[in-house]
Amino acid sequence: MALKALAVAAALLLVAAPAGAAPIQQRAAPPTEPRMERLERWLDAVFQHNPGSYDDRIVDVGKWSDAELEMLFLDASTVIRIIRNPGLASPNVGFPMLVPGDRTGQTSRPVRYTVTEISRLKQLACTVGGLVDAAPCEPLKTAMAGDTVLSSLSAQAASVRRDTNANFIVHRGALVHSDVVLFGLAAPRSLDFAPGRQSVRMSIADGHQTALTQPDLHWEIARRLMDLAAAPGTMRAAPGGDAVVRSWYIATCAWMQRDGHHDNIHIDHARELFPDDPDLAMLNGAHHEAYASPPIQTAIRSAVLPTGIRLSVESERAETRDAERLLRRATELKPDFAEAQIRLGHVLAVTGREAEAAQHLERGLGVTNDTLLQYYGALFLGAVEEKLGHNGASKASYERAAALYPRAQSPLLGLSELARRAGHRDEALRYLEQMYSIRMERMEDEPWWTYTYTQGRNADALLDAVQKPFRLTTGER
Amino acid sequence: MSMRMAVIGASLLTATAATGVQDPVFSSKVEAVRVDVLVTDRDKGGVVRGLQPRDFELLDNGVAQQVDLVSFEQIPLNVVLAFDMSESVSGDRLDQLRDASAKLLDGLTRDDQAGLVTFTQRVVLGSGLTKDLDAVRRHMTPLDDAGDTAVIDATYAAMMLGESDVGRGLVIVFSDGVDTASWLTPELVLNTAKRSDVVVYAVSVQSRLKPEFLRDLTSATGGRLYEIEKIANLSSVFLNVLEEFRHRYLISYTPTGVENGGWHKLDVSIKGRKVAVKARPGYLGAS
Repeated sequence: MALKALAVAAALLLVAAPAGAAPIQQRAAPPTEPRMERLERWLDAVFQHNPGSYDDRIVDVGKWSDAELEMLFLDASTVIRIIRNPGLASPNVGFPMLVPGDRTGQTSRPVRYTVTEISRLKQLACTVGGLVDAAPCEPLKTAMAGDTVLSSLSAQAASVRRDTNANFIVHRGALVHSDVVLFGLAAPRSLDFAPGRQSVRMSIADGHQTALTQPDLHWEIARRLMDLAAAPGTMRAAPGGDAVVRSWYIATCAWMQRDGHHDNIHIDHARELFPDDPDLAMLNGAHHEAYASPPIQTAIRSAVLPTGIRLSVESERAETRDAERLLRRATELKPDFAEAQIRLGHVLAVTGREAEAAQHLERGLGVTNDTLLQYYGALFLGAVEEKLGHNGASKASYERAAALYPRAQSPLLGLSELARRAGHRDEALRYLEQMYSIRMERMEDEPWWTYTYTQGRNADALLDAVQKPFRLTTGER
Repeated sequence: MSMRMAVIGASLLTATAATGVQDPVFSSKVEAVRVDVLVTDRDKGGVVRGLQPRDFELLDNGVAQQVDLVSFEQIPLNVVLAFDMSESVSGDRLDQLRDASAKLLDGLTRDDQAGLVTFTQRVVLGSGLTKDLDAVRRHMTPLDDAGDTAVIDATYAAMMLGESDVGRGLVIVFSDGVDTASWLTPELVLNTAKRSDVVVYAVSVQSRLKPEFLRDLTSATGGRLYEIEKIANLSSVFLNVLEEFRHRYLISYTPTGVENGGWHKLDVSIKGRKVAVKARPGYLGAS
């Protein structure tokens, strides 16, 4: 997607007032079709969808309602649980299944499956888990014989199963739901302020609120699946130690920020799982920088919100403080992290700590050859040096930025203002004349305009890296 | 993706810059200080005419100054229009903006000049200062790059254009939003304004957000901020601005008894008259 379109709009996830709110699960409507059939279709998508590609299976999943997705997650997690504890598949073993508590403090509560549903869940777990010959599954063999759905799923699962702890379902399932969002396939939701809705999405353009919509549940389902990732060789969920989960969060956070789909819940959960990851610390810091920026702060200040909606965007000062904290953390974790150093320098500059800002900007500039980062560093250093009264250094820095992006207007404005302040009006006018003569053709010609998006510029490559190991070979399809 | 570019202005600006850029008013090379002053009758509200240098009392940092010269309706104007041309200014809004601008331009004399700066996040010179007012009208077209608003950057560019030729600089800013994209900060542009004798008027469409930068800038330059409910009122506002500006006195004095650099607080009053006086609150002197 072209950056121009991305840079003019953003969407923020706002949090509905959670106090006393009932969990989403309690609102589950009766399914419009048998839930086990939906689970089978989902498993088919998990095993047959090629991550990063468009196909009918993700189109199908994209049509499911929130209630259906909630139910699907419960059923999928039950299957995963049985695979990890095959003894649960024994015909006479009953087991409690709990709806997990949500982040609003609701406690878990039991799920009541029918006998038929429990039987089918066991059959599916034995089949896709490769456990048909395991003792607990033996008694199910007769009932499973001749079942074409199970037969098909068995073959599909066998071709992609790389582990015995169901991580292949967790990872692939999360990638299915990710692709539903990445391809824009999620069914539109009508705005719902009923108790229990956890968030609404506010779209903005040029500092104005343009729409309030209901976000779909696919990111939430993907996160919950990734939360089930087990450590290698174990059956216990430990997502914070899973390399796929980590890469998935970095890639999806980058995508969200590049495309202006800001989501506190997603990036905060990523940081909870990976508190010592420098990439996530930088992305989280940049996320708060974006929240502190004029387009978002302006939109928030002028927003008209229904009662009960609490903004998940704090004041400019608070967001800037969070950005500084996280960017500092990123630089502590990885001192030669050029982008984190330069962004930290920018945050320090806008909060009036120019001397320290200059140190970080120079540190960042010293460890990168990336033209974009060089531009940001030089541009910010130009402003910082001017504030410090180092006019010569300021001019040199702005000129360096102008040389890196000759079509950018910001360095020329900076140079003009610097000259005007020094009383050199003719020189100030010449810089403006140069600015007016620029033939700007793309948003990318002026990286300042996309500063709050460019931290996600590598999103496509990052997503590809996550998806690639899960892509099906010809023989697996 | 293409962005329609305005291939404009560079030569025009070169021409104006080459033909008569006056010395910086507040540089160390120029001793005289110019101040635009609006004097109105406190009771009747009308402009007070016929004042002479001896009628003005001017304090520069509290030190009384000798006013050397007073001009009224004599010096040609450099009127620079700085218009927000983002997506929201299209259709009827654009038509009304054009109509209001046309009436404003019709009100200029043949010695006056006009210029045009348009902006979204991009700042474009629509027309350099020129007496060819049709050229200004012709370039009043929306920029086709959807996006944010760089009103601070654009205002800086407009002020620079306004002071790029001899004459009294008047900048009229129209924006229906607040800044979301500028590189320059409000502080830097206010600083420029305090070193310039250009007067800035601004028209902002009312919203829940207060146009703080425009309020500060108009105050710092002795201009005025109009917050209008409907853009349909724009013509009368623009004509009011022109009328008011034309009826301002331009006084000049050579500072004595004060340091050159730093902030100079100005107090302007009229001796023995019940009048209201509006002028810039001060200026930044060259150090």
